[in-house]
Amino acid sequence: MGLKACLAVLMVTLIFLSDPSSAATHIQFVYLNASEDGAGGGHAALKMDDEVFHFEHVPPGLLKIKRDDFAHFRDQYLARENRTMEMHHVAVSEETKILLREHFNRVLLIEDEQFDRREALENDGRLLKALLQLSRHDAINHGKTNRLELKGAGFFLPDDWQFNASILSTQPEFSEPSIDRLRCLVIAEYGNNFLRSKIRETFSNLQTLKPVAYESFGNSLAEDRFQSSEYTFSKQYSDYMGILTALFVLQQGLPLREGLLVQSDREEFSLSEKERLIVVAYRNWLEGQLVRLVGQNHPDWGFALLLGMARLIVLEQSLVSGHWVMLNLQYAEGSKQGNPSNLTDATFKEYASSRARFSEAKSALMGAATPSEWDYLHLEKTTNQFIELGNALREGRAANLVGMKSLPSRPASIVLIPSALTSDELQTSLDRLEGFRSGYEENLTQLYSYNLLGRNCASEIFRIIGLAMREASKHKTSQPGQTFTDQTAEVESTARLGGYISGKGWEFIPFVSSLRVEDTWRIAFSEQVLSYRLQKLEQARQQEASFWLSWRESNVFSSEVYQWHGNDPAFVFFTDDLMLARPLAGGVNLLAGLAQGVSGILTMALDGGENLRLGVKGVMISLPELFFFNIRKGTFPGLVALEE
Amino acid sequence: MTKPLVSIVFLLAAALLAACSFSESSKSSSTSSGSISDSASSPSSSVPTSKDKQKSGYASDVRDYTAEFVKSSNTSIESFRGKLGKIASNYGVTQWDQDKSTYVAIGKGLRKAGLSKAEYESFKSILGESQAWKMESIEEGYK
Repeated sequence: MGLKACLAVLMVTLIFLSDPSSAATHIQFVYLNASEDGAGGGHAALKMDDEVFHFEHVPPGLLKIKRDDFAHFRDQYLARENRTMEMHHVAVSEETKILLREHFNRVLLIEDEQFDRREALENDGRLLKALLQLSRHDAINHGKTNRLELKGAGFFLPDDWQFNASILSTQPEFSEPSIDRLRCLVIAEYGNNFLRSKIRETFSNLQTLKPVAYESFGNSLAEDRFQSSEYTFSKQYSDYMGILTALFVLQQGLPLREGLLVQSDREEFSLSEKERLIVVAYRNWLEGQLVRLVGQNHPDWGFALLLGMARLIVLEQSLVSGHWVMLNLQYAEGSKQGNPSNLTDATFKEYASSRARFSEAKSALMGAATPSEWDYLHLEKTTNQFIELGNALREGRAANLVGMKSLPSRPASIVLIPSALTSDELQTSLDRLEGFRSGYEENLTQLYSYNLLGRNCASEIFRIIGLAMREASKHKTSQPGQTFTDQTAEVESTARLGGYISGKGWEFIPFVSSLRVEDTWRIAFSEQVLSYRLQKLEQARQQEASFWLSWRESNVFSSEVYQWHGNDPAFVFFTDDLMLARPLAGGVNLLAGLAQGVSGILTMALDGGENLRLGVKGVMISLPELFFFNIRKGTFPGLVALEE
Repeated sequence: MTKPLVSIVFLLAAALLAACSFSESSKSSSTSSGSISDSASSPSSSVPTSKDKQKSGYASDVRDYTAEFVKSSNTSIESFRGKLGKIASNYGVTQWDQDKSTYVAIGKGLRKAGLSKAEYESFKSILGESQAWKMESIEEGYK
């Protein structure tokens, strides 16, 4: 260790020793290099323990905070977006870390409510328009707009299902025994007429539901004031639709739709006698939970009942078949169908660890003093992963693990129930909503507008840290009349972080922000984590360092690490690991982009201009390569990492 | 002539260098049908994959939300429950209302909010819906 390093360590030690209540710890300033998806200058974030706070550009020009689990953040940016990460470890006291975490998390809570309200108002607008069309019998415009995407409905019902009261008098051809059993328990608890009267009541609530008085919301917003979002018209409508659909399934004893289960006849999935007892105990516990749910006065349990009933059927099937059966998570909400993982080389390792996780999850379910949804959910996920990895190995293909971390939610489009309100009443509500929405949107834009040169993902981190520092200073010296300015923040920040960065200078450029942090804050050490492709290349070079390997991996045609997919613009050479040859390779990439653009003009009628868009993007991101600057790295959207 | 050109080049370079990442949900929103949905487009927080970390993450999210909610001027119980349902769903839980850990975390949130004794008692009864086990769990978290 050199003299300079020794002095730095000594200084850090002295700083923490001067305050005995301060235990030394680290926070990390994270910089990610450029990517072709609109982050030409890179991206910045602040990591505290396993949480990463960062600001993202939300169209049409807003900036919003996001909190990610570090593993998710790493998978998204390093693996799928294939970007290299620089991480500066900043020595701070435990108290400073808590101060910053609390401050950033409070910003998250406030913004979440404000943006939730924005989304709820948008949904209210769509719903009111759809109900207005229905009330005017505007058959031409109905299309798909008078549908509600309802979570959990797809377990039992097809898209475009429509409720009407006469359905209740028809009996289905087949009634599912598990649901029949639950219905009997509900009747035993609440009486014979409970289900029918609850269905009628919910149906009537939906018809007579009135839009909320938007004027009473008040649209003044502040970035430091938490205001919980309202229980809006569309939220109430969705809740009642959820209950109506779930009660209909329960009343009719509907079976699960086809193709929703995952199971395997392999020996490791067979139920032992002890496991059978656990399945029975969990099923009985779940039935009790669902019976209580149905008796609740709050209208927010539709999805919980739909998923619970689907799981009851699955548990019954496990008992009948003698093997673990689960809901298939592969095409869960938000996942992309048929987007196979690229982890072929790691599949054996993943398979072995998924086996261990499956056994662990079974033991947790069996060892729990009382049944818990947490344990079941964990087993549901690990069973899905274990079966898919096993199938992939046997069939010699890449495993498709997309969606396997999600809650099963299988939505379906349900036809709306018309409102009893007149067209005039609905139109008046819609006008009021639109008036309120435009004011709200304006206020939101004033508070959170994304400004490329002044307020972006990098500058916002420093601004929030500055506010946290002022706040801390206020708590320390609360003398009457004292003002808290940038100077106050600077003094506090210098004491806590080793220096102050206002966010008002060139640090709005993410890679400059990384350099400023390195020069200004109290850095314990810095590290670089390579992008997915560069990591794979480094691993390959350890086994086979040769010219042929470099050539093979230099271009998309022969690369074994990267496989071209339709989301990336056409290109030929990777330039992120080239320096001298970058302009030459960039020139070839530029030609590939031009070729895609020209062919895009010809195929415009067929693909809606997608090829042309990709071609133009390809040209744009190849141009900087001519001047030694790299943006394009190729992406790996199908990569899905499992548990840590 | 050269001055405006330099400005344009400077602005283009700055645009190229400073643009930040787009949110994941916004990347897919251009293809969305604009249909009415009962769930938010995408959660603003991603959660850990390990079960133990999920449980502790869920508890601190419920605690932090409760602490802010009870200090807010607009306090509708349905809004509160709606948000708890959303937090729970983000962690993969649907039976949150019958989970003791939810009410223990609510109690911790009431403690964090620094309420007076009278305010605490009032919120305990409202959020615990006057049900004995829920109020006991809130009390356990508050202590």
